[in-house]
Amino acid sequence: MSIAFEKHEMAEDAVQQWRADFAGYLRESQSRLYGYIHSLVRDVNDADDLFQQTTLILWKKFGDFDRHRCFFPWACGIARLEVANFLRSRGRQRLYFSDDLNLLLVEAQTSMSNDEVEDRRDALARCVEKLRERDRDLLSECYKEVEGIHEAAQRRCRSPQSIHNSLRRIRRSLFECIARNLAQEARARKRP
Amino acid sequence: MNEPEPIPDHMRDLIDDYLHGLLDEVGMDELAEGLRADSSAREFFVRYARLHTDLHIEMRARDAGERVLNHIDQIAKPLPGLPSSPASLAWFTSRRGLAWKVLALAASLLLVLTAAWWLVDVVPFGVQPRNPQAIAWLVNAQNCLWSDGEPAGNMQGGKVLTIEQGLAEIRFLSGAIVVLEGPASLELVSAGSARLLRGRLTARVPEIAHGFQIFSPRGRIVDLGTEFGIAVAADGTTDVYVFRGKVEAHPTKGDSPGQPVNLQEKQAASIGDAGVSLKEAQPQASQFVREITLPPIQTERKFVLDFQAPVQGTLHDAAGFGTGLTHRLPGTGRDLQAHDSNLRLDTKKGLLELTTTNSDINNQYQLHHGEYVGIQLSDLGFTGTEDFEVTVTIPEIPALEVYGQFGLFAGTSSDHNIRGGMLNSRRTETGLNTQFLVNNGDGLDSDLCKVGLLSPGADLRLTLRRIGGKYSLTVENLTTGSASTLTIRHPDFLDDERDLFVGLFGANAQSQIRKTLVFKAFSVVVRGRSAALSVGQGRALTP
Repeated sequence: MSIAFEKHEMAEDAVQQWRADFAGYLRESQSRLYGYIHSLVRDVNDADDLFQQTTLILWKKFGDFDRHRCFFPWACGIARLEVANFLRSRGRQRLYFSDDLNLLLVEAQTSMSNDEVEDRRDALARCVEKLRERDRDLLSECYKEVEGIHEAAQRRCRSPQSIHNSLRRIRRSLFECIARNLAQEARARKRP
Repeated sequence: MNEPEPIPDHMRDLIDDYLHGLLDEVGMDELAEGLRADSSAREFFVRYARLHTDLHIEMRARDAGERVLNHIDQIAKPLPGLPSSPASLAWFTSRRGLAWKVLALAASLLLVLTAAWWLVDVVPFGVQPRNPQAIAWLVNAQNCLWSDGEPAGNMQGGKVLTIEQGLAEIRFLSGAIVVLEGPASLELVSAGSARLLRGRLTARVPEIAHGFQIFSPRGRIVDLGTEFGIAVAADGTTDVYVFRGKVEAHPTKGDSPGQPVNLQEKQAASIGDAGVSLKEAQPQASQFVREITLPPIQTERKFVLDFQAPVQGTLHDAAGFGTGLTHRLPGTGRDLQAHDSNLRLDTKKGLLELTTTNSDINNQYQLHHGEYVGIQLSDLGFTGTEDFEVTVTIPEIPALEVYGQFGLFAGTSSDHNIRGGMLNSRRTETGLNTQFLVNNGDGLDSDLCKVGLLSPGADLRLTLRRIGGKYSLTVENLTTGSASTLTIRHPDFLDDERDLFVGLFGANAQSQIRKTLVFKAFSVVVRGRSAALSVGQGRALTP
């Protein structure tokens, strides 16, 4: 908080530079940071809120950030605390990983590069196209709205559990399809 | 290359269940154990979770893309009287690769404008995204002296409100309500949190918003279902008093959070350098202002139509009888006849029949014969800020076809409105009537909310309300005695609009099968808080 006040006293162009630096770091990491937060709270609306809250805090604490180090793990550390507070305040802390495991997961997140994230998303779009129309419709209904699964179940006169089972099957086939796509691309790149 | 090693099926199942929130504590422990023990399980986990995230983004983009494509289709439709030009549509169908790129671009644009504005910019740069999401609204102010001018009604994260004197009531997106008492300074952090920099406030937190937090220079207060007051002194020392329920007070020392303390009803505490200390409660309660008491409601203007007699000088039905409804929503019904063949007034039964047309507010499809009939609120003395409510009864609702819909609307024009009622959003099945409420700020529907299924044949009473500036739609099922209310992301584009029209509508949006709807007992109430609605204004509207 003290940093926010100090910034008021900085020269205008220094503040501009400060902002530009922060913007650069954030753009580089925002997609992965969002993914990290989403993997912990699993609800997109909560993830939206927490992402926003976290970026505001990152901005305020940017003065503490050691530029010799990587931004993404630092940002994840702050996001981790925000998520923990959030889940605790909602009485959901029991469904949250302990700090030591979280650090291991941040490490695993870091092993996934921005390029890989983009490649995965591109491959996903192609793989969704290959799905049966039925499966694509179900995915669309369940993922585009928060209450999607319950509505999809109601419309199909099926139980939410059976919808979950279908989603699990579809997600796995997509995951495998993405893996095949990435492997193909890697082979193509290796060829002279 | 980046693919993680295969992991046991059981772990995959746990991860799947985790992502869908299906794990209990035992499952959670098991998953944590598995992840801790095996780095390939963690590698798998982050990539599988990424798929989950990307699916959300992809599916929302596709949904948005479909709507944009409909919109483009609509724009590409030849004007009446001109030779048709199939070339423009063929472009979309034959060059799918290219079309998909355009679509993806358009979809991502739409997505940025709606759900994920943060992907392009973040708030702290002072670069305001084009349509940032409001997280709070100023709903009431009394004798306020603002340091930086009165803020707009809708406020985004990062906004700091500073008042020198007076009271301001702020409603957060999460549902929490804060009364700020000047002199005070409050920073809006998110839909569920704010930072009190100095001064006093009270927070009322309904069940839906539990977990609401107020940060202070010395710590933070987490609501556990309650109403509480908090005051921040010049040196940052923070006093808390709990009126109802309980809160958790977390002290901050430097950057390390200290031990939280639970406070019960009527307990008070102080958070200072030494952490949280309990205080004698009684003298504390009276220092907080808990709500802004308004002058009593002084004006209420009501418009009632029982359809039992024709009203001269109003919109005509097929036989030329005045229906009592005075205005069409601007942008609709341009090509309908003066004696509208889709309307039939039955004075014996006291009802108005409306036969739907193939048109849709979403994408502004064929609205030249769209049926959106009602009244202009300014005729009831409405000046832009008053609350209002529109009610109609619809006996024996029909089984709707694909995207068939009917209900109530409020707005300034066909591309600036909110509407709700019954909708069948299934592509293939007839009669799956769902309650819905949707915003339309630019010709395209957004923020669609839906709930439940209502059987064809039921008698319904629909009410579209604006209370404290917020919209909701209630559907009462008069056949079963049940009722449900939908609320929606606030359509800020309607704030302070003076030229609002309200009324009823029906459309067979994506099928050619027209339905005839019966409307009874249509009424509109405008409620003013002060002398804003002077008696004698407007017209004698009751037939």
